Amino acid sequence: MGAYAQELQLRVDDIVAPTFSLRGIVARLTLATPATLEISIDQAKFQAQEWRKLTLHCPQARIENDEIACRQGVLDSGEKIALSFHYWPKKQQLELLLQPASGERWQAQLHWRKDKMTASLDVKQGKIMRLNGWLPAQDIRFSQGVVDLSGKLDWDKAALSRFDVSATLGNVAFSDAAGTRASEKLGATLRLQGGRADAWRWNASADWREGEVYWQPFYFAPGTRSLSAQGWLTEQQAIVDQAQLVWNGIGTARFNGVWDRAAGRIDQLQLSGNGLALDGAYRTFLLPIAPAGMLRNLRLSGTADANVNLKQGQVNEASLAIHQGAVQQDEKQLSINGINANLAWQQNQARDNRISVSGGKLGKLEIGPFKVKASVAADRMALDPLRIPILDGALSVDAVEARREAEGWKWTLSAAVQPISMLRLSQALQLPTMHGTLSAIIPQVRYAQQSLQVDGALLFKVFDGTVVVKDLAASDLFGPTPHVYGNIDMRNLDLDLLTQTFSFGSMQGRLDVTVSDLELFGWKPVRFDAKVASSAGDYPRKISQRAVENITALGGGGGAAAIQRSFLRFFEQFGYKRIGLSCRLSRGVCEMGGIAEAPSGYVIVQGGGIPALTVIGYNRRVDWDELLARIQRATQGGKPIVK
Amino acid sequence: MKHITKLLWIMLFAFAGSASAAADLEVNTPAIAAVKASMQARHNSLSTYYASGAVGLTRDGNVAVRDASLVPLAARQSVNGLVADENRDRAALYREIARANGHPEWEAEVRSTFAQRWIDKAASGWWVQNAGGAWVKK
Repeated sequence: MGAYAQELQLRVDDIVAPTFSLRGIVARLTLATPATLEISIDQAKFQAQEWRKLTLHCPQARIENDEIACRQGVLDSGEKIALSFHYWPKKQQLELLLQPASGERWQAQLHWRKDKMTASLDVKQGKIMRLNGWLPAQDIRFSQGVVDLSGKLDWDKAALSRFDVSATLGNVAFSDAAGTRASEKLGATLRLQGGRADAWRWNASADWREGEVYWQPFYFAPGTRSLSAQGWLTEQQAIVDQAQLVWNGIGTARFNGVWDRAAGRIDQLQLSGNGLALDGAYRTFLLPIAPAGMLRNLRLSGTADANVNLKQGQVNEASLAIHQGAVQQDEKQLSINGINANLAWQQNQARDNRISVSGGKLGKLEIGPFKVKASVAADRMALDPLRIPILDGALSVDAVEARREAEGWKWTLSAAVQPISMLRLSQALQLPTMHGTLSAIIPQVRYAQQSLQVDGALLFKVFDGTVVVKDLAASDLFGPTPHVYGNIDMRNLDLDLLTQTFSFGSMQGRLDVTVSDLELFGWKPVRFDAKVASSAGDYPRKISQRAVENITALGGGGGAAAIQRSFLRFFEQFGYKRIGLSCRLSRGVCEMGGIAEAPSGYVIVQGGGIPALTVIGYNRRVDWDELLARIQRATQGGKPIVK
Repeated sequence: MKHITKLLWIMLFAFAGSASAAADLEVNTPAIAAVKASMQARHNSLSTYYASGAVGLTRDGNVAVRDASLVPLAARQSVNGLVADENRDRAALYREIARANGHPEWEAEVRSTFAQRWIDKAASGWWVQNAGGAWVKK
């Protein structure tokens, strides 16, 4: 050879196959010792991957009849990668080693004969980002993470084929472009084994050890979960014979099913889990899909057994048994305890549902044990009569029916409040002590699209008179602006009981109160037309000096001061003929009036008997909040502030 | 006849225009005050995401997650919740303002007027949707 190294340049025809192509291939072999080999490729394509200007430089090449090898080669594809390979044409064996970075190794071995092949792949500290180019365009992309993998495949066209892959992922971060599917610091081990006789039989296990995943709308916090499954794979179907998912914080679920590969949907799935933690399941799976404002901030306890059956991609049957469940909502001070339930739902068939509750709390009001029995179908629901004990009475609900219509579920029910003592109710609600009873008959309640309509009347028997609430309706009931509407008619309220209860200053007589066109927002009145007037009939009519002062203060007049300055201060009580006060509330202002007009005011108390006193109000327009403050001062028993 | 129909249409639109021009957007009722208070309480949480560009103001008077990848993983779900709650409040605000004006049918106009207002008032650096629906940084 002498000083001249012999150089062979080889221009190879483009290699084009359905899955890959190599174009502009030039190979240059320098026959020195050691021989060097350089291959350059203008364009290489493998499926969707494309590389331009690839070069392979082998400083130690060997080209023999039975061995072609490249040691300490460098593959330059933009990134320089250390590469070595050995190819034995006669033995039909290839060994390939890629070392893209320090500590990172991708090593493959391939050995094939007619109708047989063995392959193995070993990856140490492989950068998982290298897979990005192989993923579909709209899919996730890895930004961080390493994989250790060892895989083996024995393929035999005539006999049994086998594969066994295990991988450990560490510190994996991925995301799609919108950030709706992403992970950080994910650590997991995976194992997939299989064999083929007629169809592929496989079993798989995955352990998620660390890291977090967001898969809109679900977020999976760092924690341990593991999945093991086994099944079959055929041309048409992926079959899971049995699988077990252990979810730390929720429990264990088992499932089996069939995936229709051609249709791309679940053909059949049976999923079951026993003793699942309700709170964990609610936080992980239910809360993210709950509508805005609904089912938020609940605290659950108890366990559930769940069964779900899917057919042709749709839920066919589902059941849920709840054991010793409890729900608590702190903001609305709502709690329900001791829930035991058997719930079931089935496509095309009504199923019986039973719930029993040992008690609960609605605000300050305690409710007793009750049972619900319901027939539930896909588009309708009907409840058996139910009775919820409240203090010494009850709310009984009959004829609850719901139907699913185009615009949503429509509910109807009728109900009755069986007498509840006002004494106990007022004590429970921490209101001034009241006597009498609360009862109601509600022939029909209709609810649809957040709007509630009550036909019939609620009847309260308080202060020896009656209170009737009619035309009750509510809109945006569970939304941000719940409005309640209604008309209230109170008859023959005993003023003596009323003024004692609210420490207003003693009055004797009877009152009628009508509140029409009432609108409440957040349980506070924003609009009404109210009239208070002495009831018709014959009864003693007396008013104490303190009550006069308070009434006068409500009207904003200077009457009380006038009493103090006159001889009237020597009397404790006065007679009256009629009392009347009206307030028309609109936009935070109460337009006030009385029984009759008076010079520059209106008559609130018309005197009668001896000594008689007439109270005149002078303020026609009073700010509602100011009026409430005055009433509060008056009923707290303090001295009214008279300006 | 054709002319009369045309004239009627013109009158109708002229009336609708003057009616909406008369809408009092600053009207206050307890419901409006409650919705505004609820939105105000949420604003501190949301403004961080407006500033980072994770959440932007849409041209239809709502807010939307523009780029979830700007939010830590553990907070993405709660950002979705904040956005859903904010949009529910905004819908209630437009509805209540139209109602308080005695014209519930003005809701859509109130919404589009507010949409422009929010966008005009958005701080520099926030993302808003232009008339074509594309996101632009203010």
